[in-house]
Amino acid sequence: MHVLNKWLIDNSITRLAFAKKINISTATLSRYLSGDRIPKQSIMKKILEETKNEVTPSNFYTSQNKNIFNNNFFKKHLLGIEGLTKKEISSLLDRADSIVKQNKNNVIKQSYKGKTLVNLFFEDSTRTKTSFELAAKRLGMDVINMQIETSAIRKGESLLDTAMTLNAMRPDILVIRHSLSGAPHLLANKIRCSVINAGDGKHEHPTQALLDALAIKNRKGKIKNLKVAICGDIAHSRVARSNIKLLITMGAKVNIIAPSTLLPNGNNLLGAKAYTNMQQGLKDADIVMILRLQLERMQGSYIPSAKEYFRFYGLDRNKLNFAKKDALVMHPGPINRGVEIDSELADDINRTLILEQVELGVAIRMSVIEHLLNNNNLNNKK
Amino acid sequence: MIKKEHNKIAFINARIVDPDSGLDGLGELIVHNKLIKDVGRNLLNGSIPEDHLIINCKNNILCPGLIDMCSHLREPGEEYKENIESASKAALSGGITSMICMPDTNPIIDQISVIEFIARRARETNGVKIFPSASVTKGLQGKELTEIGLLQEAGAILFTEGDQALSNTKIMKQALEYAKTFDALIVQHPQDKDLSANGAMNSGALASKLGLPGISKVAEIIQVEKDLRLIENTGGKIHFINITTKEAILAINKAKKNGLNVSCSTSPHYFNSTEDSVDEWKTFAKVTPPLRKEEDRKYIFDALINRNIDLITSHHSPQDQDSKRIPFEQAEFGIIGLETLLPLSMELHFKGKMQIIDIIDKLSNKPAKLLNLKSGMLKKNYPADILIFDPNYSYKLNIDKIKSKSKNTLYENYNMRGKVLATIVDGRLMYKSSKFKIKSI
Repeated sequence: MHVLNKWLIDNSITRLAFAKKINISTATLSRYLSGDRIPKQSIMKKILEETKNEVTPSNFYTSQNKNIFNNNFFKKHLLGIEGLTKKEISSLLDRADSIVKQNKNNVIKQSYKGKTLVNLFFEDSTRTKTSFELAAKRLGMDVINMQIETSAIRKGESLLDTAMTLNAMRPDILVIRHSLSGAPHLLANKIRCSVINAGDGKHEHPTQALLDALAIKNRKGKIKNLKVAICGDIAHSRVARSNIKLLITMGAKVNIIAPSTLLPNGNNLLGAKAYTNMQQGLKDADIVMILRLQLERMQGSYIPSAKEYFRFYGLDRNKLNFAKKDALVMHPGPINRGVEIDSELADDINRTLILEQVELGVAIRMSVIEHLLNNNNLNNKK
Repeated sequence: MIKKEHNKIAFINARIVDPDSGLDGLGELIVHNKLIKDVGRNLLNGSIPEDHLIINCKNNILCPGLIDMCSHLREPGEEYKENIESASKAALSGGITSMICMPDTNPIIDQISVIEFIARRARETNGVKIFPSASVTKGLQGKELTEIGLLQEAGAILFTEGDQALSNTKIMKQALEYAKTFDALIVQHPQDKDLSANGAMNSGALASKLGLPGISKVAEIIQVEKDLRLIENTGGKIHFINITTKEAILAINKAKKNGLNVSCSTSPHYFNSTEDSVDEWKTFAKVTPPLRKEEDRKYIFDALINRNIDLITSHHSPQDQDSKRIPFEQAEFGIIGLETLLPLSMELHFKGKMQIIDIIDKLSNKPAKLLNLKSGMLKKNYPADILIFDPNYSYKLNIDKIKSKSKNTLYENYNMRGKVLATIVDGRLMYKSSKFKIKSI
């Protein structure tokens, strides 16, 4: 809390009264308190007088005053949605939301100069990697991209070896994507900096779930009590897992819809209810989340063909009618048009959030990075 | 130490436990020249023969040395994980006097020269008795049979594909039929290859949550049921190792009732631990077949007590750090088990009230009989392969004191009950705990 704010509370003076006394508007005072603005010398003098030297100019020049936010997320790493509380998720979402608003006015300041983010991608990715890179650059960070061909990683020893090498480079944030579940957790145990999981095997993809949640919140105004239907290759999807965990933590109901071969073993997953029928699964849904069908599973033993899949599980306007009238469609991308979603529907900006999802991705990642850097600062000070 | 000149030893004040004769009570055991001379009560009539070394067992249990039917010694080929010498030391400190090593070494034990190599290394080590198994098929490829007759002649005690199932039905049928000619035992690790391909842990909610590919119980059940049909058809002889499911046990018992020559075993981790040990990608809990759910663990635990499982093996599978400190799906299977075989089996006594004599039966007498080994019982003129242990001594498993080269145990700092005091192989004291004092009189 700002020293001035504390002083006001301690002395039971309202912001309005104080603003009047020093002859500024309450809005200006709020900006001083939030750190978005620093008082002019003449006003500084007044503040000094009014507070009897208890609030000094130096109180307005703290190192973190440019992007102060209410941090309720105190973890060192973001490895998954698993284990996050409602409060922590809200903290990440709220900050991202305010970043979106500030972004529109271009007021984000490059306050993290000299910090380094390393993108360590063991699996191909365009949007996630770019999104992290953009987020870090908007925060003024240095970004190093390490694209490692999966084929070159013969054995996992190289993962720990890479960790050791990276340790020596002293990055502040490490973003990792790996084709094997739990790889970021293994790395997090061995590395000094904060680790962000950008997708591990079939396990989790937390920033995707966070940006999906933000997109839902922006359009529906809430997450609680919404019904979300997730349709597609649930068994092999890390996006589904992170989304189910997040949505259920935030009080939504989740249905999962897929042919039995693409449902996880035991069918119901992490509290979501499983359906093999689109009509039943989409009933009363506020949000329909379509997952990408991996090419390698489009033929063979999981599903006989893409054609058959689209006939029974591909989302088109007819099937969308099973959901609520104002139901919105989401897709983490990239889209297989005509396989999991009808091409024309995918382009309907009134019904889909697909482009919004991409846009919010940057804000979410900025928020996550900021939280983690913030926590690192706190820990270093201790 | 027992010196060379002590070719006559008298163990006194021992609680003699011999599953074969059913003897469980205080008594003495006399060893002359590597062999058991006599066993029973009041053998000495109160007088202490002057030419004998007297070992006072102080009411601790004296029983046949343990026989471990399934362990990976990693030599030749992976000596950085374990070798015959380190495995021998580990086995002796675990009360094991005979062990059967698995053929999945490099080179694979599918030819006489490798059998002879192991026999030579065992002679040089001169510790635990080592009996090599051989693979059923050349190169463990599951295609062509090995020279079962010649390998048996050279010393192969059983035939197995190690930690993989012989899944080709036709080859299995041929193997069972051909092995019958030599009365050779086929040992199967029952897990359907297609169903378990790429699997890393027990399938179910936890695997789904962790995003790991699962291995379902049906993979084990279907392989057991398939092989039982083949036994019925061929009249061969089979032993299933690492049984973890109720359905497999029921099928095996039904086959036994129908007179088929079939037996089965499990390993201590399957009745002491569950899939929950995987926690968050703990690779030490990655074993094949996978650890199952609590209900399965309980069933295996009870099945041992109810004599529905014939014996217990350590399934000792040493893995070095580079094989375990990697992502779960890439990590190798296995945990070490030689030094924890006895205390983990004793949990059947402490938690399940199983008689100690019945536990020792599954660890010594039963495997000896199955493999026709002259061991596993305290009988006149049998080799003096003996274990002395304190069943009530409890201690925390200290990973630094593990004698195995690899330390991949699930049971670090676990409270172990039952401590090996001394292990005697062919009348020689090969291991003695510092807790056990021998005073020659």
